[in-house]
Amino acid sequence: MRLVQRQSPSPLHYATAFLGSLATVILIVFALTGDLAVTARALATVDAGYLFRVFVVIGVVSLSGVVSYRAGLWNIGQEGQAIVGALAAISADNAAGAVMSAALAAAGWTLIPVALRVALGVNEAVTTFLMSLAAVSAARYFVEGPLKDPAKKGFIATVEAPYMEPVLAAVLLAGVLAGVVLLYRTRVGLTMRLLSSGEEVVRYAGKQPKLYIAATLGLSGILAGIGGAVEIMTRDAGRYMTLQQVSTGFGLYGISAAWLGGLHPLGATAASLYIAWLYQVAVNLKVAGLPALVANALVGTAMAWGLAGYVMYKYKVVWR
Amino acid sequence: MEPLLSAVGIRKVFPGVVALDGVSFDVRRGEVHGLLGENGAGKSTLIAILYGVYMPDGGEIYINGRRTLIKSPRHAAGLGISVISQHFALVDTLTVEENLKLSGIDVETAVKIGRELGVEIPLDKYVGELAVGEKQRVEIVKALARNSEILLMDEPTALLSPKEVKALLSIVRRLAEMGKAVVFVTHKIREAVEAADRITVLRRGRRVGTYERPFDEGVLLEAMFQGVVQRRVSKSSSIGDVIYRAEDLSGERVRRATVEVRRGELVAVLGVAGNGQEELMALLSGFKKPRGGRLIINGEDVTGRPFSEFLRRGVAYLPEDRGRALAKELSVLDNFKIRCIQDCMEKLAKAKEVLDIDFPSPFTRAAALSGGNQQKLLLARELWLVKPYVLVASYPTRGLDVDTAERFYALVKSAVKGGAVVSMEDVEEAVERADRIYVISRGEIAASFTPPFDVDEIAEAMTT
Repeated sequence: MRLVQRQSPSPLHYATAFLGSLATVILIVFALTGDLAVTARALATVDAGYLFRVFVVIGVVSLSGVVSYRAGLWNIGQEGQAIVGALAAISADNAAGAVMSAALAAAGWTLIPVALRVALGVNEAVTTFLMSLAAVSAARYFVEGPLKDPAKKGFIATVEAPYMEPVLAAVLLAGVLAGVVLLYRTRVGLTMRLLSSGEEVVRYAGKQPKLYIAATLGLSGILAGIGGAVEIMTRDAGRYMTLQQVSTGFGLYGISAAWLGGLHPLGATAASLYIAWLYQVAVNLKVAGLPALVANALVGTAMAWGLAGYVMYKYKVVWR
Repeated sequence: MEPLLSAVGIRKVFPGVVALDGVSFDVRRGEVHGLLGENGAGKSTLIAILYGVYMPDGGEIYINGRRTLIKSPRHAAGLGISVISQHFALVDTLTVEENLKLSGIDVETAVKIGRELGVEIPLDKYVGELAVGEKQRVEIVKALARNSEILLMDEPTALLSPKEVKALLSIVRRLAEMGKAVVFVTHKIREAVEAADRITVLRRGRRVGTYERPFDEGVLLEAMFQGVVQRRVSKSSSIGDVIYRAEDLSGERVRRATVEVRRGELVAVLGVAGNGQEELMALLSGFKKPRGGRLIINGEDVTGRPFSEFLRRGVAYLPEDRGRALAKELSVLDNFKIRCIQDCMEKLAKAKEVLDIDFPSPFTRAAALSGGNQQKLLLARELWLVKPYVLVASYPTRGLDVDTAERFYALVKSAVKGGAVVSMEDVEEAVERADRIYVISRGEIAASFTPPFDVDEIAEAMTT
């Protein structure tokens, strides 16, 4: 068996991946519940407000993935960047300030993998992943230290982040989405995408590859950071971070949506809605008494299907 | 003596070109048989067929007198055939000993063979630290340890220093003394004369003749370049001042190269692949920064400036490796936009028509285009669209059909405002097209020629 590049790839292969993912999810849910009625309830019960909130967060983070992977750069540290963004939001006074702070903090946080990649050629997949682990430790320090809420007696948690109206969050997602779509119509966006064909092509285009690597990874980090800020600010209640609840998993969900959406801004946004629904299904299963980690398992299968879609889009399998 | 390997009437056709046209060739046990010819003569294709990389379209191969169909390189290895080429099957980050083990070769046997051959095997050294000649010796020992009886050496001296060449030639003779049949592919007459017992000359896919000792170098030279005559072709009528000059330019392989281009001139850099011309082109275009020397455009020193500065001054670079210049994962339109600023869709449509580029839609991935169409797309963007002042092109007509190659030269004439420097492999093409010819050998400019060109002199410069 070998893979041969397709002459003319069709986006329909992503639809196949989507259907494959959907079938897998239905099978998993049925296997876990063992009951058709419970399965149907778990799949069909939707809290629109909750679904919308999760969709917006995953949507923003997925665009972070699109920006990075379309340029052939492997930022897999969205989880850490989202944590840093959330911390920055907690320390802000209002929603607008929180978004700005989150962007700045995530940019600063991403600067380390950027510098290592640009100056020393260290693979960004390794550094961004490790920075995610570092982000968890850093967040715990802030929860116990500088951002601790003294009013919450006997309960270690940060002060509350400012509230962001879901409508505002939706406007933000629309803005980010439009921004990325427009970016890809500019020369800067074209050069970012050229990176996926190698640094030499960028140099051939008369641009400096290192500058564009830094800008792309930086932008990817910023979007993940904003995603983290939006996540904590759009909660109905409990807009704080505790020692146990630092990481939310939305980084992974965003990456999954980016791949399932064919690394296209619009595709990733559509896939974010699907991933958000999976998250809702997982919550429904949790309510029905199944383990909370089912959410990660469901999203994990979606990610696998997303990657399979990417492979099917680019290659055909030849069985000889 | 009966030949160990013989090929009879081998024919191989690639789209648009007959690479081998009924070539017969044989090699005996204990013999070094030189296979001589300039680029495009069909030497490497013949070697690829004998090693099972390509299946011939016609003809027969006999090993030890038995008709054999060589199906794959693995099959060829099983038949006792090995290839020693410029590309080594060695892992740089492992030691020689580890590499031998990786290839399933008994280290003691390898050392013993090395001793018989008069070669020391540096077992503890990492392959990455070895000189090219040393790597080649490891490959030869590997081939012998696999009990190979027939060694096909494809341009084995191309990357070697003169001292290493001498050492290799004596190893080649030693291999013959050990009873091996050696096919020694080269374009250098002197090396063939020194190493070979017999020499077969190929020219444009055909066998010109097989020659026995004592060799007459003049006869061999004539056989290699027979039929190359200078046809009357239109040369630039108005050659002007020097607009572009490289002085003592040095890189990793290129050493102290001085090249100049005058207004209206087409300069050819002629040489055999692997002699540093690709690096020279990259240095001349400003794409690669030189280690030494100067680059002057219109009297201004631009040495070491970024490539963007060269682009700004109207330098266009067509690299040998199209992957450097085309983002194959992106669409044809995106690739066009690398140089196009506005009305790109319309301009691309026009270029498609003018240059006859075949692509179904501007949104087709560049990777889906054939090699020839990718080259045309590149020409459309870098020449037709940009209209450069100076063109630096590396083998721009390689793989193109005659009509497209003709179109390339017409485009150079109409679009390039200053002058062009183009690397070529074919003497005839250079003689026909160029206003000045530089011959590059082992990274150095070995000679330069201006019209009227003497083909014999150029050929001699290339083959010594």
